[in-house]
Amino acid sequence: MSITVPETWEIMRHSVQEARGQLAWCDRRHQRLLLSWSTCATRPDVQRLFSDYKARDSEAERKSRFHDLAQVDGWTGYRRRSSSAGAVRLTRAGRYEPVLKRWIELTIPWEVPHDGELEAELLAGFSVGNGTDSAAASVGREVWQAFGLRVEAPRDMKLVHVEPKPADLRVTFRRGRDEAVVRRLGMLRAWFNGDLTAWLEKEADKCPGILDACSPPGNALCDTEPAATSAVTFAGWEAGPRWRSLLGLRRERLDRAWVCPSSQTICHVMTLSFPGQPLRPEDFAVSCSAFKGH
Amino acid sequence: MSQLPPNVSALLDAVPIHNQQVKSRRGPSGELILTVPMELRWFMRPPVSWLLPVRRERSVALDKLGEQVWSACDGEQTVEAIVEEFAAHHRLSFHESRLAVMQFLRDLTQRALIVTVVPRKESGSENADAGEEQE
Repeated sequence: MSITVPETWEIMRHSVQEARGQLAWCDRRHQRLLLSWSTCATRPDVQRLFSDYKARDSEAERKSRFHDLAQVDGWTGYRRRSSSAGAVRLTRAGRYEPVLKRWIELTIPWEVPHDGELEAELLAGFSVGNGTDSAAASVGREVWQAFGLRVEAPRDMKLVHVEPKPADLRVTFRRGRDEAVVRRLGMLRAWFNGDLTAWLEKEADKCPGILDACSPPGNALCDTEPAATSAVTFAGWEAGPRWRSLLGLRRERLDRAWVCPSSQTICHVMTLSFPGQPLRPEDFAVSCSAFKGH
Repeated sequence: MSQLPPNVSALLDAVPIHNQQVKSRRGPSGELILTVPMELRWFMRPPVSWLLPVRRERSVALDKLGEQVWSACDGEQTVEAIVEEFAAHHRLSFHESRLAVMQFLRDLTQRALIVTVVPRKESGSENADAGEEQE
């Protein structure tokens, strides 16, 4: 699934569950959009679903008026107008995606004046599949993009965790017992002394291995010339007791970190995998092209 | 990011101001140290305070980032303007900056180092002086 929203909106609530989840966006002051999805083996009774929603909305605000949306791009829904001023307070639209077997719902609260053009753009900006990322799909990768980070991950890696903190975004992928963590660290001026090797050494603390400076990652999709920066790699093993190593339970750890000159962030990819089918940082294409929409 | 607080819009319009009782000085390594007098609880007053040492002020050391936000709390800039400035300086998104700055301002408020003037909604920012103060 992908959706295009205005650049200035930010995800404030997220879920990484495939079966059922929500994504909520806000602008500076208000919540603007809620995208929710739930598994649905067959097409639900849409008319009944929306009549239930209308009944619930009527309870919230008496004498609300409802206007059905014209069916566009498979969306069905309505706008709720307030009883007094007649202003649109909410747009709710839903559609069934038979390929994903998901019921998709968009809820747009209008705490700001209703903008029909924006509403149409949001509905039209939703799509299923990676039609616009055919290049990534051709090399068996899937695109994940949010919070100013774009990651092309191997298709069989599952996004399991996203931890967005100010200037420290951490995205975790998993495939069985293999794991990959992609990080974007900002505010370099405040804490980074320019020694990337020392930083990665500290990150890989207690992990036995070798640090090495290398050429910039060829798959770093940083906006400007990635060649302007250098990368540092770490090859070793994850930290842990020795008996894990003896039993073959210790995973190989590979790191690659570089400074993106355009966004002044550190990008860091760390993989943990068993030697048989090693997962490498090069399997991920990372772009830290921050703040260019989602 | 975390959920948008319900009153975030009002908070962005608020103007943080230094507590006039706060004294500032530089520490040995150049950090800014703010000292604010503490309100003595009932059990810390005489005669207990005659017998036991009682701390009458509290000090807080700020790092460079904290100092930057502290100096921006000049009583003129709104929280939104401070957030914008912080975001531009550190190349953060507005929302990242908002989380960091608002958390820091909350800490400063809890330590009684600043007060935040929230303009009344109906009268707009013109009557900020008449606004309620949060501590």
